[in-house]
Parts: sequence; structure tokens; C-alpha cells
Amino acid sequence: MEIIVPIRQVPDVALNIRVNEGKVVEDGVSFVISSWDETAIEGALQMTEELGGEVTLLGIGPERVSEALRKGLAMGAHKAIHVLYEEGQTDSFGYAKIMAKVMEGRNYDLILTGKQAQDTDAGLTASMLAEFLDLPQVTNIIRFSDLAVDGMTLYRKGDHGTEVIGIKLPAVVTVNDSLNEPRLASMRGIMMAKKKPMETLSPSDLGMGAEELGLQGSMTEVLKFEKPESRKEGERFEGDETETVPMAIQKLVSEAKLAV
Amino acid sequence: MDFSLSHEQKMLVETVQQFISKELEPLEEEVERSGMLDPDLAEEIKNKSLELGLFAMNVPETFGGTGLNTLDWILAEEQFGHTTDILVRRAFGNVYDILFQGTPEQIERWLLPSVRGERVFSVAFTEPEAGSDAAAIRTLARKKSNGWQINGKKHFISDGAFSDFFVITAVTDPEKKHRGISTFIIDKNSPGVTVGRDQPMMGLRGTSHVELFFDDVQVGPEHLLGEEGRGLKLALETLGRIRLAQVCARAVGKATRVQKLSIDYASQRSQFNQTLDQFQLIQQMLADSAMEINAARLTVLQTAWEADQGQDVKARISMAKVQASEMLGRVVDRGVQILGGLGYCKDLPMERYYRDSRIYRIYDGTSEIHRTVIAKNLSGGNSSLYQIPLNS
Repeated sequence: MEIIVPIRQVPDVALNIRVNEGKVVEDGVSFVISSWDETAIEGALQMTEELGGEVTLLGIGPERVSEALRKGLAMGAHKAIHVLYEEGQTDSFGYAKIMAKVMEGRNYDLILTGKQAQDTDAGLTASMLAEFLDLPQVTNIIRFSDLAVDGMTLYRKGDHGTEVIGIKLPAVVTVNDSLNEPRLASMRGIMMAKKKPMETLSPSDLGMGAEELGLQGSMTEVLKFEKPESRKEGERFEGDETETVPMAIQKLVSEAKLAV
Repeated sequence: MDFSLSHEQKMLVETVQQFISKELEPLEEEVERSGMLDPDLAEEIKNKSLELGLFAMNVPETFGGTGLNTLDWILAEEQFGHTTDILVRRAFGNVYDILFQGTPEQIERWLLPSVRGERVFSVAFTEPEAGSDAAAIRTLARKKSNGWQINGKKHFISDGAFSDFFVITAVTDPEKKHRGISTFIIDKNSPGVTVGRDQPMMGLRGTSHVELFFDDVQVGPEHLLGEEGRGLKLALETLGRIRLAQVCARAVGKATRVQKLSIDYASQRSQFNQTLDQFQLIQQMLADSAMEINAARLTVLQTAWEADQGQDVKARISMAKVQASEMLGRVVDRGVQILGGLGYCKDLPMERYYRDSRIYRIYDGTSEIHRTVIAKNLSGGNSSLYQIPLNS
């Protein structure tokens, strides 16, 4: 089974993200694989461990993206494609177009990726890619079963139950982070990663001109980023609950204008 | 001069960081509360670490270890400092370099099972009358026709309760003083070996520190490690790298965790209508700690790099030991001060870090002993300890 896993490198959300003049300050920020994409890598590895075949990672962006790809290779992916591209402003549509170009002429049974990127939370790229490639798609899966090279059963969690879907391959599938617990890169994996093949392509290698890239190739534009205002410290009511509960309710009514 | 980490080094640090935060940090509070690590959990974290190749990273591949060079190993060891001693011992192993000097038979019998995580050992040099003065030991090994007979007492033996065997020092020729000391490998279950009480400590909860008694312990000649009479030299030569890792690098890691908690708290805690990090007196503490952590880290990494170049780093390790351990003392003291009452209260881990940090200036050579080593090197003309190294 040949699986392509598009991954996105995002700022580490565990760190303090700084915003200056409407832009995220990249200086001093460490970048990681978007967590849902890491889940997709793990899912793809489990599928190939069961059925054989290879996992190919696809990353788009500047030189630093190669670090995310190496990390995925250290986890166990077999090879990687890096579209080396100082992306500037590119939206989901722009990325999906580039990915579709990369897929041209390649052999794959499944495109597996995160349900959204951790930085933008847009969740659009995979659906657009499926549309461009004219492939079936299932989003946000929490489980898979009955794995075969031509199809499988997928499980989506809804508000009132689980949706069980049969899908024929090739297809585009996106994953929820409850699908699995991604493995850590082992020492052996880390040492092996630099020996694994990484294909580097430029947009021009893909036959893409300036009009298809960046802002020109996008359908939306992010005007600016704003940092959420820090929350004011709450008020603590100390004492017996028979006293503190009425005190809290009174405050909610008098100051927060809560209707009771 | 390139200070950047390679892809592989970054991934190594990330893997160790993730392993610690996912597998070890959740166990810290229970270890602290109960004073022990559940043996089943100990086995579980060891197996997970073995699977990832994180166990016995300092051991060369020829002995079945991961075979990292000193610099890479030190990068991992800095991360170990973020968690507690006993969890590091059980998860990542504690294989001392001294056993690499064994005969092929000794390596097969004692080293390899330790690298595979099947057996645990500790070094037992310290005695009630011989701490910094390691040559003052009184444990005696008498040569017999069929080996050695050992009598004596050790104390403060870290991890002694859990260990299967010990590498000990004993006097084999009282006339020759420090040249009359040898090292032996002694199995815990040998007749005459008694593990005494666990000596309670200020910090390092979960790690035992025991007394050991040897009463007419009979061992064969194969238990002598290294040459007869060269034991003290062997011990001093092989403990340096371990000291750089387990004390210096871990001190930097622990200080980093303390600083992170201090910054997080100072940025959230509000008094007089502003967060603590807006007060200049707090800012000074945080800035001083950041500068000192960085300086110590650079010293530790430079020393590791020099060790990999084959340079004699004994005096440099002494410098790193004093610098890193005393830096940790200052950083954790500020940490408690910044957190105020919560720094002193057991509800947050700062109080534990404070207790766990004090030993760094004492074990593996006190600050005073290491300053003496540095000063002797300076008197002996070792100008590389303070001049720019043009000749290296």
C-alpha cells in the first residue's frame, strides 16, 4: 500500500506565540509537525506495517520544513518530498493546488493527512485536494478497519454516535487526533533518517508560475493576526459554601448582569 | 565556531523531552508522596526506553549500548535533569563507564546484562571515614590462595537497595596508601554481604542510599576489576565523564525547569495590580538566572566537545561541576523566592526542586574539592583553563 502523507510545519503552540504589527514573530519560535499530521504519519505507518508498502511524506515551505520531514522519517516514514518554497501568504486553496501538482504521475493508494493544521485550524486543504484530484474523501476519522489495498472501513465520530463508512481507494482521508498516539522517534530511527531519500522540488519544477503561487494563487488573504487579550484575574470567594455561593451569585447578578 | 545543533541532535533532544514529559513526569508526584517507585512501573518505563534505544546511551555499541559520543549524550543528560533521579535511573539505566575496563569475561558476566537492563549496579566507594578523601577507605581485601576475602563498610550508596551488584574500592596493600587500593565487583547475594539501612536524605525521594557491610566476603580472582593497586586511579579516571553527565548536565536541565516554572508564575501572578514579572526586583532575578544557566550550559557542552576531541578534560569537568551545581543552587533559590509561599509549599514542585538541588554541590566531589583541583592545575601551569585556547 502506497500512502502519501502531506504534513505541515507549524509554530510550537506549547510556547508563547508573539504577534508584532499583525504578523506572527518567527524569530526564536520553534517549529513542529502539526499534531494531527503526526497522527496521520502514525496511522500510515500502522497501515503499511500491516499491508506492506511505503509512506511518503510531503511538505511545502522554506528550508526549515526539511526538519519536520526528517522527524517524520525518523518516526519510520520511508521517503519524503519537499517543495522548497518561501510561501509568503498562501491559503488552503494555494497549498491544495501545489499538492495536486505533486501528485501528478505518482503512484499512491491513499492520501492521509491531519483534519486541519494546528496554526490556521482551517481544515480545507485536504477537501480541496480531493476535489482537484477527483477522489473520494472522508474527513476526521477516529478509527479504521478491514484494511485492504483497494478499500477499508472508516469510523467518524459524530455528536450522537459513530458513522461507519466504507471507502474505495485511492482516496483522501483526514484524521482526528484520537485515531492513535504517535510514536516517538527512536534512536535508530533518528540515525536512519538522514540516509532516507528526500526529493526536493521547486514550484517551477512542478510547472507552476508566479500567478499560481502565494497571494496570487490564493483565494483568501489573512489581513493580520491579533493576540487574544489576556484574561483578567478571577475573584476568589473564601469560606463556607453556604456563604460563598450566595456571594458569587450576587456578584454575577450585580456586576455580570446575569439574569436569574 | 558553529554552535547550531544538527537535525539528529535536535531530534534526540526532542525524543528525550517527549519521553520524559509523557512517561516520567506523570509519575513524579507519586514517587515523592510514597518515597518509592512501583517496581512494575519501573519495569514498564525501562522497557519503553529500551525499545526506543534510549537505555544506556553512554555505552559503546560494541557493548550493546546506543554508542552516543559525549556531546550527544550530554545533550540527552541535560534533559534528564528535568525529572527526578530515580525515574532517570530506571528509565535510562545507570551504567558506569568503569565496567568498560573489565576483562571479556567480566564484560559478559556483569556489563552486558546491565546494558540490556537485566541487572542494576552501583558504585560503592564512600565510607564513613572516606568521603572527599577517597584514599582513606578502610575496607580491606586480603589475598587468599583462591581469590580475595573482603571486610569493611560503605555508606551513602545510591540505588544500593535496588542493585544486583556493586563496584567497590578496597585496600589491597595498606603500605602503599592510594597505590594500594583496588576495585572489585561484588554480587549482592554473595555470602557476607549485608545491605544495611536506607539512610534518609533531604531530597532525591525514591532513590535509596544504603549502608553496605562486607563480613568475610570470599570472591574469586575474576572479581578484581582492573589491575591490583590501580583501583583509585581507575575510579578517578572513569568517573569524570559520568560526573559531567549526571551532575553538570543534569544541573543545567534542572535549572532550566526551575526557570520555566519561575517565568510562568511571574507572568501570571498579580500583586499591586501588575504581574510579578513587571517588578524590577523580580526581573533581575529572572535575568540573572537566564544568564547563569546559559553560561553553565556552554561550559558543559564545550567540555563534552573537548572530551570527544580526546583532550584531557579532568580540570574542565571540575570547573563545569562547580559552575553548574552552584548555578543551580542560586537559580532554585530565586525560584523559591519568586513563588513566595507557594515556593515553600509542597503543593507545587519548586519546594522539591530546592531540596533535590542541594546535593549537587556535595556529591561527586564537593565544590571545595573541585576548586582545589582547578587551583592545582593553575599552579601547575594549565593556562588553558582561563586563556583562549590557541594551541588546541
